[in-house]
Amino acid sequence: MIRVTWKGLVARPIRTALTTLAIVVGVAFVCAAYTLTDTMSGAADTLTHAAYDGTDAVVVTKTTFKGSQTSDIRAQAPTIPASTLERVRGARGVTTAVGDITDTAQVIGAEGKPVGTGPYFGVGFDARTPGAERLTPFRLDTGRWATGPGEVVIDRATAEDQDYAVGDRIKVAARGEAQTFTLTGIANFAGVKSLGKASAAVFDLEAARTLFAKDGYDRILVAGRRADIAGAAGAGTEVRTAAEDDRFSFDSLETLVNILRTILLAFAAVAVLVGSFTIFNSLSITVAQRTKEFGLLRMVGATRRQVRAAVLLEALTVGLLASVLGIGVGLGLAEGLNALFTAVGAELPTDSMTLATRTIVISLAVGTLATVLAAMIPARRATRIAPVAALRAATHAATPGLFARGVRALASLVGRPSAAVGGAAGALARRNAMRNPGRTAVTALALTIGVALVTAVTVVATGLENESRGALDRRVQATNVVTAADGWSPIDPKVATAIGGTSSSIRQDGALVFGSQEGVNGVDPATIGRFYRYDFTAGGIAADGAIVDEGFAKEHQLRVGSLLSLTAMSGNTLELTVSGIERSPVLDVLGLGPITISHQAFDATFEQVRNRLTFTDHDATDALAAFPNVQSQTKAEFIDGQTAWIGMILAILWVLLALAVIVSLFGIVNTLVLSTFERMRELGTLRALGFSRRQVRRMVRHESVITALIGATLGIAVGLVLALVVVQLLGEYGLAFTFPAGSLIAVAVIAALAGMIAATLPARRASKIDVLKALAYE
Amino acid sequence: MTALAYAPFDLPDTDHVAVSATALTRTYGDGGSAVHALRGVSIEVPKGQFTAVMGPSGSGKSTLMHLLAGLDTPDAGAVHIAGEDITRMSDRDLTRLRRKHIGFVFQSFNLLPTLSAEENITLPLAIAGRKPEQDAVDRLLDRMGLAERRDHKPAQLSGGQQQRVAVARALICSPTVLFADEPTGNLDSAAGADVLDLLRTAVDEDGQTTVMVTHDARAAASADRVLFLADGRVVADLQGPTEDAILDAMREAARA
Repeated sequence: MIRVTWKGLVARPIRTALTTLAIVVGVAFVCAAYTLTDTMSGAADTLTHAAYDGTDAVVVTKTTFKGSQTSDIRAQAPTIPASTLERVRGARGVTTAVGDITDTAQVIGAEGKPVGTGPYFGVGFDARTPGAERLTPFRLDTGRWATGPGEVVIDRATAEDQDYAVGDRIKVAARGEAQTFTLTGIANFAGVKSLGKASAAVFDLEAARTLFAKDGYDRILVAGRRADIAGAAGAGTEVRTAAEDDRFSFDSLETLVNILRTILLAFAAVAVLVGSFTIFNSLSITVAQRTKEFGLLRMVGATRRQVRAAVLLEALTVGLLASVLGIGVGLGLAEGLNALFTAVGAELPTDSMTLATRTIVISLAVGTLATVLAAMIPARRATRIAPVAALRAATHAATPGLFARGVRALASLVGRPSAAVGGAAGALARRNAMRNPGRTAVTALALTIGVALVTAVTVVATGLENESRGALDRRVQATNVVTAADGWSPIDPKVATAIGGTSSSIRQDGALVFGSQEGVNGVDPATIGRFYRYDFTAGGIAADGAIVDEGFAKEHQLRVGSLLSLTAMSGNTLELTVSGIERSPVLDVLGLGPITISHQAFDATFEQVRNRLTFTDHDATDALAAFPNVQSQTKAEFIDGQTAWIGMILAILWVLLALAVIVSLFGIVNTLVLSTFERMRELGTLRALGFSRRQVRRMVRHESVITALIGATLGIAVGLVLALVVVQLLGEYGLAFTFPAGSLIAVAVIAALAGMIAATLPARRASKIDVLKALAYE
Repeated sequence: MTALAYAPFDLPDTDHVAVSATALTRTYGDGGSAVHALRGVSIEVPKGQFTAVMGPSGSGKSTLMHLLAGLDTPDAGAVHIAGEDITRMSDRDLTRLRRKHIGFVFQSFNLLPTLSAEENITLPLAIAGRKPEQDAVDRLLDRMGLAERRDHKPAQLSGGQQQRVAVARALICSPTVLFADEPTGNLDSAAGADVLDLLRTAVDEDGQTTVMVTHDARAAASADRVLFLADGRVVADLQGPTEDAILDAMREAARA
């Protein structure tokens, strides 16, 4: 039986290759997902070690909770006083101890805008203390450290990007207006030239305290034996490792890597699913075509089990082959994606690709299992072939089931344009697509999956986008909104003063509420109403109260008048009564979180003194000339900026669609090649009747396009139904069903184009047949 | 009965000759395994004549028909249809030639299974991008006895009916020459006789030039002339044949 399987594979090299390719893509994505993210994680680890290894301990002021690095809302930690540093320095076992400030500061480029897209590290480094260099990840490349006010060291990538050299006068925005500094040195970060689009400005420590308006330091970095530090630092402090403290947020890098892995694995899942359909289709046809052969095997004494084994063995061989190829292609894909990330500036210090044993095992398992599972039904069908089938001339196609009949009707419908424009070739193509609806259906279904996914998500995302934009449009009453250039970083309160006129600001910090960390907004109750409309379901705004959103209120059984207790990172607590409950939007686009209190209460409790958003009634661009890291947007620009990420998600989905289309192409090519083979004599007849080669090609192409359009139509239908279900479920949050006509037309056009591409090879083969041989073909 | 007859090497008279072959040779394979299918065959088929080509298996009769119809290319010699040399034609020109000048009837019918009887008949017109004249189609369907079956698919037709559809398909364009390759080979004698009647009628009533390859003496007897091939050569050319004369010639050819 092994010989039978092997010969079957070798005798049909094109089909074997296409079947294999269909699963190779999926396996390649599995392999690339793990390899790329393993490599990136490894790089992040290397970076973490290089950055933190010289630091034995970090002393910070004790906080009630550790600010989450990954959540939207970042709580501002309190500083540690200079007196604590003196005590730590006196402790036994401490070799070196220095104060540290790690905040944000943007290096301003030649065009007057911040360089890079962040994070923008603004660091205070105590270069005057001997041995301090082992406590910082920065390694001086040229020049010297900043040792006084008006001096700065920047990272090498930023310097090279802007052609800044030691001795230049450059602008850096820390708090408030951008100021001019003398560039005294250029440094590498943890041994690498750059951190992607991040930038770093390293100031003298004492100068940084003034720049960032800090009473003390953000932390104390210690080299030495750790045991004695806690006692010396005293009550109210906490000793951590540098990695725990993670002041350069490598954790968030890890989060990004995880997101990337999830996206790539989702791609892999779709590719494997679509690939399985292709294999199912291909093997079904193979089994049908080999009916005579299987009948003969049964006649000479093969058992049903042996027949099944022959088919499954074929699948296993293809699966293993595809998996091995997939791992190779996956490594290439990982390299390619890495090069792509480098090209867009998200560079990581990668060594060589890390191909873990786990990756190999998973890739092999996924590819092989998917193939064998897809072969189960065809294998069972093969066992049902009776020995007498060897004697029958040809098998009659089974009566099509309900679904196949539906597909035939659909083929008839979407084939109409082909018949109209394609002449005799188009009309024959339409009939051909209808003649074996079961096969057409399975071929088309591979495409359906991707199209359904994109349709559903497009509808839901468009709904979310509309709802979010609508909610922002209703709520934001300001004509202009002032934010940081990146849209979310906090901005100095001086900005609000500088823009003049009337304005109202929202600042934000994190607090522990009912045991979990939540975002708390500070607003001015007297002016906020002019610029931002709360959609109250109960109560309203009050100078000494809190506004909570409906979902939060429900979760914690809050009503107007209920007591609410907030604990800041510093340990300060605040008791408030709920003054109003507002309707929650379906998406918290602004990332405001559930609680809003007055500036007065906010400033007395929280460390954060900077604003997240400043609403105003005039264009403040001119007034912001001194603040290059701050932008003034019109309401429309602001809404666009805040909802842009939804477009990003959709863009990723369209890439996913492209991938699904590519995989399903293999299936279409496969089916077309088979059909050409089966209809050899018809092709010969047509050629003898005066069908030109071009007409043959056109006929194959039209059949391919019709098949693809069937897939797209089914996919759009399934996707719309899915979307309708989701929209129904989320309807109470104001999500509405939108019919994305433009996107759906785009999907159909892409499918039709894909069909044309898929037809290229089969059409050429069909047009090149030898008429005489084709006529003699049985 | 006529003795061995070799056609002259004259250029064909395009006014009277529909198809002519001049010194055709065709060899398959090379070296020791080479098969000499045709070793210099020259024939002329006058307009309106019904010619049968006979010969034992391997005599080259199928090869001759393939060359005459432009489905294969000779190693040497030339084929003219309606005065045009088709042996040097490009695939594109040959395709055009087939649309206009050549009709085919095959042994195994070769109807398109997805098309109805009527659609199969008008297929050559559709291929050429021409609109069928409904009157002409109706007349043809009537003549073939297929009026009731016009909407049936080939799978719903008997072998005889399928072959009649094929004959109608070959006649729809009024080709310069109709080639029939063993048209009765897959039919019982009654259905075969029907098909031969139809071919004969087309010759008699419309002057349809027809070349038919067959190994059936009864079929060949309905032709105006029978050419006998053996070992790649024309060995006999029988005018106004009877079935007995054909059988005699076959025996003689077998001995030759």
